[in-house]
Amino acid sequence: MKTELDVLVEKQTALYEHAHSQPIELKPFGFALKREGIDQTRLYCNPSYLPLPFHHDAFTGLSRAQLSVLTASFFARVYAEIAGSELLAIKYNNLVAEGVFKRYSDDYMVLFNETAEECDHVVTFRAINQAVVGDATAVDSRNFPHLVSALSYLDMLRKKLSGEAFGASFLLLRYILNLALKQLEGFMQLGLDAAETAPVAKSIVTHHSSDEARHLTTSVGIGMALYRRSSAAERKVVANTVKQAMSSMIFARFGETRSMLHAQLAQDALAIAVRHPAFAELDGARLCSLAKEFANEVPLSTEYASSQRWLARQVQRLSADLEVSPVVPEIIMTNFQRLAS
Amino acid sequence: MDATSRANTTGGPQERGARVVVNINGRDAFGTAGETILEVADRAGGLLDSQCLAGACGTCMVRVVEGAENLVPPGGVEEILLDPKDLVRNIRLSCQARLRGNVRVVSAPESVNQS
Repeated sequence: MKTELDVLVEKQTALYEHAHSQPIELKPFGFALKREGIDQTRLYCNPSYLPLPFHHDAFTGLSRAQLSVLTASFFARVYAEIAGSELLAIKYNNLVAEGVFKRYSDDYMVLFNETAEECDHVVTFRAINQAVVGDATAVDSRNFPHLVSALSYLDMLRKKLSGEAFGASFLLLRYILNLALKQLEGFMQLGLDAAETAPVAKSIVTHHSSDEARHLTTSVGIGMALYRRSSAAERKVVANTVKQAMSSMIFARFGETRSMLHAQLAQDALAIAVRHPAFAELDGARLCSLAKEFANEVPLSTEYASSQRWLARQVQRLSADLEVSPVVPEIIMTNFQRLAS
Repeated sequence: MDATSRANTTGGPQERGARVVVNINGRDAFGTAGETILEVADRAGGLLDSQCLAGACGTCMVRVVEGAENLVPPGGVEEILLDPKDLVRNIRLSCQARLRGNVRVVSAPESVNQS
């Protein structure tokens, strides 16, 4: 009789082979962007997804070229963070597979194949950052404090837990990272007209999202299967680990009025953009200062609201499956639960 | 919204961009031909559950109660992820099913694919 894990592995293997039935890698798109530079007639994401004070005089006059550079900077920044997260997967996917599956079995190959895809993605996102930011090392996971914490925590857990329990911990933490980054990638081009979108940006989002949909599914599917295989004592450790990560995520992303992290990401993108020659005529420092000053007053777009609702439901579902209750201030939990319902 | 614009099987395929009505779990939502069911559901306030958004997880499954012919036939990932018995029962992935006309759907967590 097939287990849930057997069915998942079968389907994901078929989906992986379907995805690779034609030679599709992301690298060519990354290299194209590096070769051609920013197309200053097109947009890389929907500007309304960036919580910046576009209603302010200083921003309403931004030219198409300036908006292109700004959206390209946000695009590059998002993919730098995604690459940083994928570096964690490259480190741990095969360690987890070695710890729980027979080498080169179909189960083992799911994580093995994902690692190969992540390597392709990192090369691509490095090229994007080289092209847009002028710094290929922007993709280093050490640039992101939450990834540095995750790495050291996982190293500690690996010494304490069995193969199954460590696998569950890693994959469910990976799932939380998948969700956070999918909230950015999956929604940042929503509402953007195809004619306005830089074709290379559209291709990267489409193909990467397709790969990551499988990775997200296996994160939670294999993660929960390994969780159920773990001893009762180790399940408590895994559940508590994931609960802490979920609580941090809810605190950072479901603030009383908005996500602090989302605002910071947009401000970081602006700081990158104002260094570009397209912004030479403007006072970049003033734009950045205004972005910080008005951060709490920017109306949130409908696309962003959709992404928050989607994220809340995923986290809610995971907390129900693990039977844990995240710990956050009541006002934030109220906002989170409203969105999740 | 009058009775003639409610989801029905007589609407037939429409041009891309034409307005369509998607009845989701008893509630009408409005979209345009060419969109997916999930895109319409999301814009209407998140009427359907979803997860991977790209046809890999099955969370967004729906059963098409009326208007199955008003959807682009399943292909690619739907044919892989859905069991043949699901397809016969008009189970579709709402993130993949593109609209050509009016449809009526209900959430379908009870796929034969699930153990």
